[in-house]
Amino acid sequence: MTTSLQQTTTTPGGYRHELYPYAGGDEFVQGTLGFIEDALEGGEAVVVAVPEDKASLLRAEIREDEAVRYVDTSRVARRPGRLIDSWQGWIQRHVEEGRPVRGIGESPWAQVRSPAEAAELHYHEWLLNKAFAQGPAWWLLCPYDVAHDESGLRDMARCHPEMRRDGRTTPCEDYDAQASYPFVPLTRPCDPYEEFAYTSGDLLALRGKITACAEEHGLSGSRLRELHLAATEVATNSIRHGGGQGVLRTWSEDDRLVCEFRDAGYIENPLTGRLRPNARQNGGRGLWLVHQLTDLVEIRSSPDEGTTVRLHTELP
Amino acid sequence: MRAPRTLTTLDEVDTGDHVCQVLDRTEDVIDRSRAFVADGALHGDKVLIVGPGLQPRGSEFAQLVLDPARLDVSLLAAVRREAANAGREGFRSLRVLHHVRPASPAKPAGDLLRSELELEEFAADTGALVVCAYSGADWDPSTLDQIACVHPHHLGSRPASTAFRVYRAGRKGWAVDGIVDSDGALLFGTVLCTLLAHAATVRLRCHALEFFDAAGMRALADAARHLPERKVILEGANETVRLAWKLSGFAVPDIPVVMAP
Repeated sequence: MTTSLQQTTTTPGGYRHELYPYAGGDEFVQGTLGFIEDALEGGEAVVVAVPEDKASLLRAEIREDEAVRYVDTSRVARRPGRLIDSWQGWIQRHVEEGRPVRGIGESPWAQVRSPAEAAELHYHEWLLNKAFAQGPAWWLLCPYDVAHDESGLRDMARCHPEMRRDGRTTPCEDYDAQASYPFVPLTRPCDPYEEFAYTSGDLLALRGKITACAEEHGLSGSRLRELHLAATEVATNSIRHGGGQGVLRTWSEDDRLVCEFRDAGYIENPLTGRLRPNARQNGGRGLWLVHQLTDLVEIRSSPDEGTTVRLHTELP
Repeated sequence: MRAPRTLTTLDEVDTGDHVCQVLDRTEDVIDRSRAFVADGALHGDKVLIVGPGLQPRGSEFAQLVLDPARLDVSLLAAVRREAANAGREGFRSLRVLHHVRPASPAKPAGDLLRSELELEEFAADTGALVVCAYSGADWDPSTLDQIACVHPHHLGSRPASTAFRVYRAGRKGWAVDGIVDSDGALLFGTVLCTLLAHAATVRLRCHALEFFDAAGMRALADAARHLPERKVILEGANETVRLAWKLSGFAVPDIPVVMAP
């Protein structure tokens, strides 16, 4: 039986989420190596979740063993909506053992395939603070290569309560724990797009619309079934909680099929769909499945403007 | 294996069929079923008509007319007894026309579902031909949809609108076809609970299950654990259903559902 991370505390002190801007491989190793060595001296475990090219720099200094685990984020981080659960899984064993744990987390920014994916990775960094606020005490250091993109540093600083520079950790001035997340607006749908208004009793027809669009772009089999399931969960939310109706738009964009759902509902909890459900809980599986079954999910929700959910599925 | 189908007339019925026939308000069950009952003699079937107030008209055609209110045993026991009698008396099979009338308010609606599932099992296992006639004037549409979902065969001017059907598949299990989503999840759970109340293990073939959403999975999980020592074996569920089941957190030992090939 697994232990919920949200119910277990390893050491007092809460969750620390620290940004580490660096320039180039040498600075990366310098900052992260010290972080790992400090952890090991204190008997802590370390999960290093970085792209493989960065991991190889550290592996030359510190081998993988019981205390140090390397995870290649090159593929995992392509689905930002699944990353909180990934982190929960990576630190799970140490939490269960009551061992303090640290993490080093860097997304493969150089390999990000679209502005939407980059925006969702930033949002994931911000959500980590919410996800682990009530959970076990652990410390996550997020290296960020300013040599790759200096302009993205401010976006990252908005997501991290602390920043490490010149060996010192200071509060990030751009981070406001009470503020809502500053989303970038969604892009306009690509022309041509199909539109379908749905309400109760229309789920079969809605899946039919998606099938027509998907097959036009060569999407079929299990990938199409997964998209059907994800789309049905979103549309069901519209019907049950979003004013009883919604509008579906479908289009293709950069080798992806995009399905957009708009309704009048409001998703209050930003972590909805990000945390793995357990067998006993009543609801909360719909958006979780959506994140697991599609390649990228964008959600914008406000009491005034309602909810827009975009599902991206990579085309074959 | 029996395959669900929609009939245009009762002439198309075959042995082992369990037909849900919905009659218009103006239709009379005996008049509407006269040919079906008369065909019993043609095929060498023993004909049994079940329903209140059908004597003496039903006796013109049938060997036996039973009033459910006057039975000394359950309806299932009565039809099983007559099926055994038919065999001994040299008939090919038993042909049952069941004119179903609303039960008294004191009788729970779940009893009707249980009764229909029993008749479904009876028809499939014995090869008897069972037609359940429902007068549209006597039943609300949602109840008729619920009842239709446990009949593999449908006949009537009102199109079958049930999204899924649960029916007997061989002597060891059941099958579900169609779509189980948030609209039908509650009913699907009720059907499963009814089956699990009478069998410790329910095998459910899912080869023709087209779509199964999170609400359907939740209904399955709740049904499987609502009584102790029960188990549901899902056979032939596609990989998306298997994946979503695991992702939903239901693949744990205290939910007695087994995904089988």
